[in-house]
Amino acid sequence: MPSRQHTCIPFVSLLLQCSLATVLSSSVLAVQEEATPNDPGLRDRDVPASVPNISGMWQVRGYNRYIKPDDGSLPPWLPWNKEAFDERAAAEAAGTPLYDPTAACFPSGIPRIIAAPYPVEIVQTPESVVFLYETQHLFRVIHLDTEHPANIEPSSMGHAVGHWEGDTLVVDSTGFVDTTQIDEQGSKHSSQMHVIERIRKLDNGSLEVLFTIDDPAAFSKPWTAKRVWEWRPDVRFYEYVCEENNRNAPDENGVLRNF
Amino acid sequence: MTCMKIFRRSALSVFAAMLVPGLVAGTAPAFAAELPPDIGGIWQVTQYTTGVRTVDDKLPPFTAAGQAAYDANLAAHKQMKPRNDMTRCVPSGTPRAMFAPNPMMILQTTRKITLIQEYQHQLRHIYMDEPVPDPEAIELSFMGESVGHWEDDVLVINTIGLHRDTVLDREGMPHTTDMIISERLRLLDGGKQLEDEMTFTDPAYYSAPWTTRIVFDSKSGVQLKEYNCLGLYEDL
Repeated sequence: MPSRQHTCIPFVSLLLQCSLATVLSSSVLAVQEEATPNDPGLRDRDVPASVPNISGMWQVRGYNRYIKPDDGSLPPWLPWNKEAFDERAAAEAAGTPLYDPTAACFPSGIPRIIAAPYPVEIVQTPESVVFLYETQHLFRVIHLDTEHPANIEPSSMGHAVGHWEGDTLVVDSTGFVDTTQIDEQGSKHSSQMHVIERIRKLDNGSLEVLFTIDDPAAFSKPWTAKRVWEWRPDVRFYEYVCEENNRNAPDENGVLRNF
Repeated sequence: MTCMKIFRRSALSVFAAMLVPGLVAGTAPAFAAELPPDIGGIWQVTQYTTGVRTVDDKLPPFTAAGQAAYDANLAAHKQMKPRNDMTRCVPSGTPRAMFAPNPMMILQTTRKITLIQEYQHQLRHIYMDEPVPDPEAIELSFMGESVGHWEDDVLVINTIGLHRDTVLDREGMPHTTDMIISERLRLLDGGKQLEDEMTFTDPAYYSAPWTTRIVFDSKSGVQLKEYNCLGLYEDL
């Protein structure tokens, strides 16, 4: 695999790249240099310059397997869901963890993959925003400015539509199977769930992902969690094949990669 | 295109941009003519084949070792015990993912081209205008390590680093870990079709490089679905 380290950006090239970014959005000038947070070289050339640029490689800041409300409260579980959550926690504390579908290589699903510790690449096209995940080589296409189809075939990653509200990409995902978990901690959800993401670039160049879980069959009210993704132009995908259990293979010193 | 050509093209573009203020504003017909073709979008093979053949519709020129490997794989396939048993739900890998009957999405940017094959949600990451990596410096993988560049209107992709668990097709056309795949992709019929001429160089199994050809139809408007190899969610 290629090294995670790339060459640094020559300062002059960076200047040139920024000053001529509009003109050269599809030229090969920028090819050998590092990207900038607004590098046009990693999104489709037909995306208008007026659309915020969130293309590129990202990775979550810190890994917290527990997805809960950003205000510090606990998820507003309905009783059955709280019971399931507590049962899982107790089983884990007892050293006999319960089955987790990702252990059988089923897709992590939404929103769980938002918190996954592995890199995510975003590619913008005129009609869509595509998320490429290192995790289980999954992907998700956010279809822009359109509606969900009438009959969505249920899936782990759901069907996603989105639109821009100023500098924020607003995504609505639904059409989920009920067998994925909200997070690694073990909250469940129903097949009625909608996940609404609000994604925007912060002033420091990182990406804020606010996501609201709206699932009246599993929670007493909608609740919103947050993750921040760091811009990682130095990172490239490793091949992650869950069925081969290869992703966290230790190196020659016994160290797990990427942690 | 060669590196020198890339350099000249870039230099020309910069020069033109400095000379013509109108370019900065956006519309630039002369510059637009320099862009590579747009192959982004949804594609699907015109015809699904389980056994890859040369462009003359023949078996490739096996060496003795290649013939033996093919015979063994084909026999296993006929007994429904294929060597690369996809019931394990691992990726079919490169190039086999390209032959799959499901739709494929291409994301085209200047620096990277990504192929998303719906079948087994396989991702091919093709880094543009970079040298082929040192074979000693990479890990073998299902999808391999791919680099690409444009030669005028042809996208050239070179791939190495495919490990022993993949085969070229459903019937088990074999390869060694030294195989080099060189692909030439170009639009046909005004963009309604995409052609991929794929040349395999693998001297241990094939006495000469050989080429196959696949054609994709444009499937504008089709949305990729989630491919679930592992079984019904309801069975969980």
